[in-house]
Amino acid sequence: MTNPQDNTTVLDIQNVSKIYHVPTPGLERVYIAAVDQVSLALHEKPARIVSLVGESGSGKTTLARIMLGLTPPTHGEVLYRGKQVSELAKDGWWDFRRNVQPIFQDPFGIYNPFYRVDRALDMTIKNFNLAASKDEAFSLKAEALRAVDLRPEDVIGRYPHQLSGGQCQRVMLARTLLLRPKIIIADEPVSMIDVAVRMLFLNTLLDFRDKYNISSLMITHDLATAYYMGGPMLVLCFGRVVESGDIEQLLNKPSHPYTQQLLAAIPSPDPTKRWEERANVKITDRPLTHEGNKCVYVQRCPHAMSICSTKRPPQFMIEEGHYATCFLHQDHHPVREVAPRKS
Amino acid sequence: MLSFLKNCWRASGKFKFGVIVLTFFILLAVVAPLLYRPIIGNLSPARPGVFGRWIPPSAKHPLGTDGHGRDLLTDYLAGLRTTLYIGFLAGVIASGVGIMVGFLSAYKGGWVDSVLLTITNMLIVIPSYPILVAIAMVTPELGVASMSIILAIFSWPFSARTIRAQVMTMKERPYVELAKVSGQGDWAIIFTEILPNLTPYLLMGFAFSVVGAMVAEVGIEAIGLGPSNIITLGLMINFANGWGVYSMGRLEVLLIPVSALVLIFMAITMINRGMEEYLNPRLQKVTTEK
Amino acid sequence: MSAQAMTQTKRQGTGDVQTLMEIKDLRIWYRTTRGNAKAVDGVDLIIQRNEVFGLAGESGCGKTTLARGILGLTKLPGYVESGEAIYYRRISDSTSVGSDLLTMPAREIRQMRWRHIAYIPQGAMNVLSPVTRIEKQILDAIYEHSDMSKEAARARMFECLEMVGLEPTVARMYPHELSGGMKQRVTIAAAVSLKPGLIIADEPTTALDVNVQQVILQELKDIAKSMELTLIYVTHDMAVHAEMADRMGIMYSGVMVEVSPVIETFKEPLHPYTQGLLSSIPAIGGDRSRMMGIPGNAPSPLDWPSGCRFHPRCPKVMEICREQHPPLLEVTPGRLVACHLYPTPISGAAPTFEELK
Repeated sequence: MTNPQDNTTVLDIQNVSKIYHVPTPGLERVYIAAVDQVSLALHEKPARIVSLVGESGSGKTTLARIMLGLTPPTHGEVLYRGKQVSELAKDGWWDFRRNVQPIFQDPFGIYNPFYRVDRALDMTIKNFNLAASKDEAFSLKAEALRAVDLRPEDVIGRYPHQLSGGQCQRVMLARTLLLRPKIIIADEPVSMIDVAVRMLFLNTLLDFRDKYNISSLMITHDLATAYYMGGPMLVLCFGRVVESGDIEQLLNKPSHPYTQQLLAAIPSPDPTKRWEERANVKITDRPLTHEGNKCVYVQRCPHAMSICSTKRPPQFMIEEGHYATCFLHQDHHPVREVAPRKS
Repeated sequence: MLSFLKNCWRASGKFKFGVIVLTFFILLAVVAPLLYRPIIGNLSPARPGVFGRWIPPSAKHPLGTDGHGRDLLTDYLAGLRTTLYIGFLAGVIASGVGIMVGFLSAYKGGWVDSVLLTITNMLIVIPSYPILVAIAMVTPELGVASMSIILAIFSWPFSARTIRAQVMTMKERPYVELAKVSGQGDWAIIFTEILPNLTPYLLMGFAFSVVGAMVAEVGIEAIGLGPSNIITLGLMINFANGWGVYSMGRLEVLLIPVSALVLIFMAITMINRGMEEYLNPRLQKVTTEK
Repeated sequence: MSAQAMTQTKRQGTGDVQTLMEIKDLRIWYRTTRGNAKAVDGVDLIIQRNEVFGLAGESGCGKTTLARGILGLTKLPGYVESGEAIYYRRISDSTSVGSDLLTMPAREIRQMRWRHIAYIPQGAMNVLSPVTRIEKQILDAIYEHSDMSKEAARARMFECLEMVGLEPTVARMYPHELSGGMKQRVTIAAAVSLKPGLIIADEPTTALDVNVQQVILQELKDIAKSMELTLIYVTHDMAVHAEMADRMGIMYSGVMVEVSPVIETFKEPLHPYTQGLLSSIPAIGGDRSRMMGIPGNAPSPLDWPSGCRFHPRCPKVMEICREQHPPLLEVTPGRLVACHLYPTPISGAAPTFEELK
């Protein structure tokens, strides 16, 4: 999804890896790639919601932290408007900070239990000089809260434990709205809030896209949520992007065995079409391991071939904009051309 | 901090008990001179031979006198006063050093952390009691302050370790990340995000240091290695031993300082448990379904 | 069971040997500093033999309290305020004997637990002791709750491990050598080792990958069907219920609001809360219209709303809803709803809940 650089690209990560050293009892040094050569770009105009789907341990939170500039990648580049984030000067850094904002997973843990929830808003208003006076700050706060369907009187002056998870999470949306960022990186924002109020959150994120032109990266383990948000989607498996494309393309023609299994395994809210009645691929849950020169999914893959455990698969183009990192497609589909990179 | 203490009070009976008992002893220590001045006048409570030996309890000497011709009530009150004083002074010094070292170690990381952690761990594994005994033997004229400092040297590593561990986990808390992306600076994060949440641990570290210092002090005094120019509860235990109160049938002379110490340790431990219970809901009996 | 306890708790079956458990007006409250939290507050429910019963509801609705409560696992400050949970053991083809799990002496309920009712708790993989081999953990459970001989117990253990798709070598391993999914299987193997009549599983697959979740849930369901046992499956995930359950009960604010066969629940939800819940789950494929969810917040167990507890959030609220708590009535055969929109119970069909009582 790395379109050539153009002026609508806000955040662009190229070939990013994050490698951790795992302590072992022996002398052998073991490394794990939490994120393994991932490239992805987020654009403005038109604003879009990109979904990143992956299960726990797929490296999606690490990727989010890298994109937010909270963790430096081990390899690869994080570019904000074409410039390396780690080398941004003071003005550039504040511009980046203001325009790339997160929503975290835990609606309660995000608030310091010591303070009232609206401190999160005050802190943002103060540090980014959004208001000239106290009154202005207050009306800004109230306006932002109303924009996310909260009544200011229900929220201002309350402590986090006095609000529900859904309310807490929407206060976070209000906080990002104060800054009108170009990009919101939402890491599993609805996984810890009640099902009945998830829709409110997701709809607000959709409104942000339509009303304020805010693009989002929606990180989720739930394909159904990703489908609801629409837009392009990347499937992450053990730190690597195994398939990417528009969500409709991926659903119509899931081309990586991991995506296929994922689709087969998610419970569907329709009791007339159960797992046992759906056409099923044989599912195993053998543990996966990180190894450089093979496909990450080879241990579980029902179609594994010998090449899969000797070579890392490149991206094959299934159709325009739809890529799968799987050797099953080597005979019928061209390898994706990777644009030559500036050193 | 106040609201934290208030919540502990409300949540835990142990905490309540500890606070009541400890407050009683502290008050007693504070008003002690008012109680013993009428008996001994302006003399030092430690001065021997002021009265006759082993005078039975009377109006003038509510608990009688001891084997050195001193008023027993005065002994206990003065002893309580010094013991608490040494404990708290050592506690303050130890937690002060502990906080600084713990914070520096956790927040700076890298080689600073390695060096400080090594020193801390070394002090923890050194058996402090024999060393205290050795120090006490070569310096017979120990004052209250120098005694506190020596005790503090061996108890700060514990609070440093606790603080370090807490700062390490708090550095990774989501609200610290939120503060970062909201443009808060490093110092603002330390003082407004991390430090307030650390108060309970600071208080707990302090309480541990106090108990540690008092136990060590009593131990040294009880085996007769402490300074004899100041009266402490530990010294009273030592004296009681020397006088042979068992054969005299005056067991209460030993039991009073021992039970006072037991109550004080219990109170502080209960306060600590109460705070822990409040902080760690798993220990709490009162839970509600989320 | 001692003779005395037998006479105390002995009860004739309800006439229907298909009934496995009958919960009557169960209330489990928690004492808190701010008053009683009425986590479970008047639940009526009948569990049939050999069914997979899904217990659904959002966080705080009381489903876990209910599941633990009927096992006699309510711990202080929680306590059973009132109600009964009668477990019927079939003694012949036409008769069953019931005993109230809530008034049973502690020793007896401990014997009931494993042998007749097994429990797979939330985060079950963390219940395994890290320093004990798997075989010892399973065998200890078998010895404690049965008189099985050593050989028989070992044979049974391997049988159960095989049933959940684990190699016999797993028996010699320690928990840290197993993946999360394998540990969860071990707990399932242990739970079924004594051939209980009822298994209560409380979100056993949270924190597991969807692939692993599917494998485990299917195994669990296969085991339930092949061993002819009843499975009460607790989760907030409606899609899992759609995959697993025969019938499902939906809880809201400590009460059952709808109990129906799962196909009908999804085809035509009756209670406005169920309707809202189902309109909150995005499906994959199909049209992508905006879904509404349920506005408002779940109420606090310290202070449930008056009348119908859903009325402050209900889009179809009527005057009566604010004042009167709707009873759980059978509105079509086999479907029970507690909602004033469906005021008249059907007549002439299966006996209603009220009649059964």
